[in-house]
This record gives sequence, C-alpha cells and structure tokens, in this order.
Amino acid sequence: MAAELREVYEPATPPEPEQLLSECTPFEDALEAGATIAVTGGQYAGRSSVLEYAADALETTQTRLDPGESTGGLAVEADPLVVDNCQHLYTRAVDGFDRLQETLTAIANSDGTVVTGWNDLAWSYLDRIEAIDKVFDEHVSIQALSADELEAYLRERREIPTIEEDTLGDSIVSSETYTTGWREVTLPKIDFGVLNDQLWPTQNPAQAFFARLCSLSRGNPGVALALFDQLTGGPVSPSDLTTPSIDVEETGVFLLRLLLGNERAAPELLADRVGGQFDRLVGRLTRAGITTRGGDSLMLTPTGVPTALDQVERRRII
Amino acid sequence: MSPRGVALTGAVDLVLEVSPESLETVADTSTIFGAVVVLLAAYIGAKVLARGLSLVAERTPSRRITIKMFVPIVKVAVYTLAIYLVLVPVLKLTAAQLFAVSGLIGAAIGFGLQGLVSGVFGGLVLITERPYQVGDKVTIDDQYGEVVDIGLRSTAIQTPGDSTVVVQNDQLFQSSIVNANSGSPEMLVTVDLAIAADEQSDEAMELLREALVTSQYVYVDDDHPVRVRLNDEVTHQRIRGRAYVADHRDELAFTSDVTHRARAAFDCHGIDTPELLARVETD
Repeated sequence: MAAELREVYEPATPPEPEQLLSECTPFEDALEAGATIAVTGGQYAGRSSVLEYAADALETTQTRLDPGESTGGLAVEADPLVVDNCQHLYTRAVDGFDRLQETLTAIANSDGTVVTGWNDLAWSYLDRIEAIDKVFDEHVSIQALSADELEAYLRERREIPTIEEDTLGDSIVSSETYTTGWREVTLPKIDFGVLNDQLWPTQNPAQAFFARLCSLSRGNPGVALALFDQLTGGPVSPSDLTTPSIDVEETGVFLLRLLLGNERAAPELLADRVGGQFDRLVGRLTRAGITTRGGDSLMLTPTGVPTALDQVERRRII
Repeated sequence: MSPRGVALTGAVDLVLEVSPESLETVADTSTIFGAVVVLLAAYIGAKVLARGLSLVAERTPSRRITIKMFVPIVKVAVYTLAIYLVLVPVLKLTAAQLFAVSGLIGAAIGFGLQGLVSGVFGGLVLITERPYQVGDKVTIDDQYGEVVDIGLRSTAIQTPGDSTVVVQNDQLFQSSIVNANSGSPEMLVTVDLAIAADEQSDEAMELLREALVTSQYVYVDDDHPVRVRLNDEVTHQRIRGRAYVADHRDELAFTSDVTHRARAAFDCHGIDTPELLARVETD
C-alpha cells in the first residue's frame, strides 16, 4: 500500500519546481554557490520534485532517509549531498536527538554543497527547540498552490468531468430534528453554505469546485489529487469533495502530530509515545481512512492529512 | 416644584413624593407579574447566554479564555437591562427622584448591606479592570484553581481536586491575587527533580530538557522558552525545568508526563536519585 502511494503521489506526479518555489533564482544561486540548503514542505506537497531538481543540477543522485535508520549522523563529507526525509534524523523522545545533533554539527562545519529535505512541521518543531534555521545558509519553503494553479495541475493529469453547482436551496434558515431519548426536538439551523453563496455568489461551478479543493487540501497538490480521485465518474459538484472526519481525544491528536511530522514512523516507536491506547487509536484512524500501514511503517493517507492538520491546530500541539 | 418631584427643605429634610398613579402602577397585579416575568426572563437569559458562550469556548481551545471573558460582561448587561426595564416604567421616576432614591439606597447600603455591596463593587472592578478572567488559573487567599465563574458578588474557582471554592469579590481589595496565565492559554509550569549530590548534573539537565520539549503538552517559541536550572541542596542536587504548556488545563498532565519520562531516562543512564532518609523512630 505504501509503495503504491509513493508511486502515485510522489515523486511520479508532483508539480515542477518552478510552480513549487515562489522564486527559483535564489535556490539556483545557492546551489551554484555550494551552500547548505534546507528545503521544507508538507507530506505529498512535492518536496521530492525540488530535491530531484537539485540533484540533477549538481549531477548527483537523491537519497532518502527511512524511519529506523538510527545510527550515526549523515555522511556530509560526500560532496555534493542531496538527501530527503531528514525528519527521520530525530525521534520525539528522550534520547531521540543525538543523530540530529551530530548531523547539524557536521553540516555547520561542511565546506561542500548539502541539500536537505525536511517535513515542514518537523522543521517548525526543531526550529522552536533547536534553532535549526541558523545552521543552514539557505532555507527554501515549498509554497501552497492557488486554486488556479491546482486547476491547471489537475487538468494536466486527470480528465475533469462536468462540474455542476451545488443545489443548496434558497433559505438561509432550515430546521433540524434532534432525538434525545424519547423526545424529538426541532431546532432552527443556519445554513452557512446558502449564506456564503448569497453573500459571495460564485461566478461558475468550476471556480467554486477548485476553490473548495484548494481550501480542503490547503494548496497541497498530492492531497488535492487524492481528494479528486475519490470522486466517482459523472457530474461532480463542490460539496462532493470531502475529507475524512473523526473526533479523537488528545492522545490521538498527539499521534496524528507525530505522523504529520515524521510522515512515516515505526509503530513500535509511536506506541512507546502514545501508550496502551495505540492499537485502538490506529484501528479507528485506519477505519476512518486517515492512516494506513505500509510495510513496517504507519503513515497518513493523502486525504487524511487535512483532517490531521485540523485536529492538531485545534489542540495547538507543536 | 412638581407634585411628583423632590422637595428639599433645610439641609437634611428629604421628602420623596410619589404620585398616586405611580403607587397604583406598583400595586397593580399585572405590573408585579410583568416585573417577575422580566426578572425571570433575565435570569434564564443570562444562564442560557453564559452556557452558550461556555459551550462555544470549550469547542475552540485556542480562544477559550477570550470567549469566556465575555460571560460576566453579558450577565451584567442582561441584569442591568432587566432592572432598568422593571424599575423605570413601574415607578415612573424623574431624574430628581432617581437621585433621591439613589441617596436613600446609599444610606441603606452604608448601614446594612455593606458586605454585599462591597462584593458587588468588587465584581464591577473585576469586570472593568480584569485582574483575572473566566478561564484563568489564579491563587486568591491560598486557593488555587481555574476561574469558572465571575458573578456580581463572588468568583467561583475550581481547584485541581475538582472542588469549587467561592471567593467574595471584595477580596480583590484586601488580598494579593496571583494570575498564572493572564488571559492566554499558555502557562509556565515548573518540574523539579532531584539527583544524588555526587552525580554529573550536565547529563541529567539535558535529559530533563529533552523530556520537556518532547512532551505532547509543551508550547515552545521565542516568547515561551524552555529553561533548566541546577540548584545545590544540602543532601542532593535539584534540577528545575520550566516550560510552557499550550493549554493551562494540561498543567498536571504535563508535570506527570515529564517527571515519568525524565525519571525513566535517569534510570536508563544510571543517574542516581537521592536515597530517602531513614525514618528515625522516637519513643
């Protein structure tokens, strides 16, 4: 399953680096100058595409770290070095930073070109606790695609069916019946979809569809592609785009935070941090379509990424 | 002077003349019923609004305290409106009569209701100056806990043991108040651990720091740093870690999580913790 996901969403179909970087010139200049560079981006956002571009420019090959490679720092004496998934250099646990410290010291003392790829949430966490940004000469962030860019990206890769507008009705106030025990209570309810449509009417259904896709995926092309691929054939409308929904307690949200930062992680390591509830949590998350097991690792599905991000931001877990 | 007005004779004589129509209005059963309905509606309305705001606040942890800040303000606004609706039309007071009535009320308060009114004034000061808000962690009069309600007369604090302590609002004028988070959800938490006097402290300090920054409850940025300090005590070395939690409700869970994992790491690295002193038996 994990192999299939990697094959489909990364690196087979990510956008070109020119689309992912707000400005390519500083990145190219830094490559030419032999700088130490950190490239950060979310899971499925196309980070590998930028690193592949760097590897081609430096006439070398890109290497990728895997979870579980836990001995020694990076061999930064190899010049040039292009390596992705550097978030696997640490684990969020006591005694989990030795390899990272060793690598950062080596990078700070390196004379060669080092291009490293990091998950953006792992980077943000490490920057808070280790000021990791100061170690690198250049930090390049992968930008979120706009609705128009996502539309172009999808039209290049998929056949887009007819897009119809949502039939929302005219009334802002509707009623909903709740059953509590033996009683039924009907309460008025504001339909924010209709309200939004009346306040800011959209010109055409396609525009609304890609705006919603951009909002749900947060401009992440891999996530947007997966959300689109969930739709079955025939006419589609904006409300057909959905992300999995789940309500988990704080330990479950912490598990999602670990997965968001690590992208893939060994279940044993996660179980050690999450405790006895781990198996039950993973079962619930997997049934909801948020996580999947791939080989020896647990990972978020592309459509599960927005759900995980929402939960983590709501709980403010760094 | 109007027949419904106030006549001031000499320096001290105060005569409040209430018109017969006014008295009839007050005595009228339907008017009394109306007043009761307004007060009841205000009571229910204030409860419903406060409950609604609390529910919304609990669903958005990052803005919980900001939303709860409005609970006492809404309550005061509702009750003030209700009192206005009841008193002014019923008694049909002119400005001069209102002035006189307020003087009488002032005198009554001075003699009999001093405690109650100082509590109410304390409540008003609380709402305007906001030394603490609903949702803050405070210590008032040695009572520590989360402020769950600010009424006009008193403040309710929920202690870590889940008891509710009611503190009179006039304590504001007499006691020192310690506010641990001042309206923000983050709160500084201290974790103390002890190691044997002859142990190397550097490694233990680094392990405690890692336990702090890897906790699921921690909040770190430039304004909320993590600090670890060492103190030499007579029998041992004390390592004190200080870090912020993202939500002050996680204070105890954070302390427990960090202590548990740091101690396990000390054991793993062979760092000794101080021996318990043998209990001296006395006759």
